[in-house]
Amino acid sequence: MRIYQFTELGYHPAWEGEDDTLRISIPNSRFDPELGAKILNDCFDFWMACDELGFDIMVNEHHSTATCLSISPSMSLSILARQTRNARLLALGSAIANRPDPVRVAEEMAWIDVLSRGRLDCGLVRGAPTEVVPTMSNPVRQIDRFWEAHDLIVKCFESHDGPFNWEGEYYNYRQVNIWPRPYQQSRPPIWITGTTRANADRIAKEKHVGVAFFGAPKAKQFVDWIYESAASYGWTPDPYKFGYLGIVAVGETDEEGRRRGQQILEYLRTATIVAEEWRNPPGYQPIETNVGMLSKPPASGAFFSGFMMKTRSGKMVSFKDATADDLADAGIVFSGSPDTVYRQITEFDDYVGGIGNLCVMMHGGNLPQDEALKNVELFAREVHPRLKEHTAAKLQSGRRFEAA
Amino acid sequence: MKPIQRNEDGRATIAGVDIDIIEQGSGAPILFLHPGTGLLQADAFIGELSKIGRVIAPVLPGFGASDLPRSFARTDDLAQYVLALLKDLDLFDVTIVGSSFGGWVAAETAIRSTERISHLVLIGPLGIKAGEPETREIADVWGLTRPKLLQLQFSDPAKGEVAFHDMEQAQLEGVVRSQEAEALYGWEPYMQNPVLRRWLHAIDVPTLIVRGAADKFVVAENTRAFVEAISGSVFCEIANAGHFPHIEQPSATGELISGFVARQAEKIAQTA
Repeated sequence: MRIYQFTELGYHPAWEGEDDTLRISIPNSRFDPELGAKILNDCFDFWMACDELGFDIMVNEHHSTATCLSISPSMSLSILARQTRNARLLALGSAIANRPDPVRVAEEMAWIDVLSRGRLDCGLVRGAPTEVVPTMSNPVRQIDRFWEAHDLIVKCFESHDGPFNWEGEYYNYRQVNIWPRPYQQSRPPIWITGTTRANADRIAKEKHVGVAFFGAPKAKQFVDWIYESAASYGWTPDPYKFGYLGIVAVGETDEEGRRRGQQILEYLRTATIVAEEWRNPPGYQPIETNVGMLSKPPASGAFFSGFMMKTRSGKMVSFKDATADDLADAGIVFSGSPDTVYRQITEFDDYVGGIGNLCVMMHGGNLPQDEALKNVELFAREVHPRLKEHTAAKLQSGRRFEAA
Repeated sequence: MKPIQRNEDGRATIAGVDIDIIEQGSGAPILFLHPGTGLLQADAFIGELSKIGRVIAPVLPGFGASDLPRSFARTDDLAQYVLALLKDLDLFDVTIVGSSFGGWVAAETAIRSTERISHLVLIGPLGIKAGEPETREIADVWGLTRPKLLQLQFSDPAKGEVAFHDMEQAQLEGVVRSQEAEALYGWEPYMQNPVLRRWLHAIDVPTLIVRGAADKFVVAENTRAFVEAISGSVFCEIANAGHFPHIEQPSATGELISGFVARQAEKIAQTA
């Protein structure tokens, strides 16, 4: 199992206020440049330590928000491509449907791949509902735009015979010919996040890496769909065709690990503090979802505490009341002593069907920098080696593939 | 003038698209083009208009229960569609009445051809940018909670309240589809087409521009720019109405339009 260390790069000082939103309309006077500089630099120090400890690294992008100071995967990865030595570098991802120029994304990603000597994993995402306003990106037909941008980026990576023409529905170019071309041949791996049947099918068709975020039952569903579709396209994925993102926190004791888990979980609480007007732009959700929302009386405005999650056993629990066991069972937070966390992750992995790439938040929320470092050091020493063995055994037995 | 043939599902295939359409009254044709919310709350106004002519109120492609052809993405498509609809129904001497988003579509239609149009009525039309880049001339409909939006759009916000949770499933689907369609056509540039303003001078039929006196959704300067650009156009305000006079003051708005059309007829009679 590969471990990608991810942090949302949250500007946590702003979380202490009473703001009704941490996204889109929170004034940037709430950002202290001096504190911000420390947070950014701490984060890169953390990633450098992760490289030393044998982990891979994941970055993302959000805009106009105190929940995430990473605004461009290309920028963050450019630094890491030069500073790190071994880590694979995952952008998860470039929100391509929100960017006017997919060729530029392909160019920047290829450049990072060359600079890092082939360590890039190129993740492409649709982006959260709150991203469409800061980027002026029309939420209607966003998926169609996403896939056209995807097709164009793949073509940029794989085309080496001089300029090609692209006059599509959304993007128009006369002479596309990126320099440099990627280091990895035929191209860097492409990772795509998703939750729907249609997305799973396209990911399987393209043989990309499919990634699910936060939530065991829906991850299992997504993985099942990819297996099902892959079979129809005549191939069988191995665990490295899957990724999953969850919070991981270890401590010398269960108690210490759980406390760290709760501190990182603060990220998920604040991530949902979004003013009502920005939560659901028209066209982002399917029509039937919006019909369902309209047919209920207006919501009370409860954010995180009211959010429900489903555990593997089918139990519905609210974040407010969830125990550490519930959080692990739901695949949201794996926390405790090294033995506990190993058990939680492998149980999750067996349930989902074999995830070769675990993206983890072990840094973030209200967890201080020194604690985040202790968290990853302990994990590197006590948990990661065993997880590698777990996946190797799985690859050897091929158990999941038969089940599919 | 052709009668509207309905399909089994109650819709009609007009200019190649299956759309919902209301037809009410008789006499000279009046085409009502709805705002972004579709024909929601428009019954009373359609009733008023039907006192003066045959009202034809299509639900534009993508809105309500009307199909959205995959190739439609701009108000240009809707303007071409309205022209095709007028031709398909063989309508001449049509008074087009458009409110808000529908006013935008009406203006886009009229800059292309007024061959079948006799009068144009734009009620709080969207569609143009008249001021400086930093002036927000049209409030951001996707940046406001519903209560705040109603405060800007209505003189009496209570008149804008809709009990969505009491609606039938099919109706709700129409509401959601209208929200999506408005975003599809109006997301960027926000609720305007930069081409429209420079061609408004091509409109050569008697034009009435109506503004609710309490409209806080569109700034007055924006609406006045329509008046300045359309030669000979008449401007009127409706009291106790916000952005949707046809919802808040259906009879006053209906009477204003009826009076305007009658005065134009008198003028024509005098010159003859």
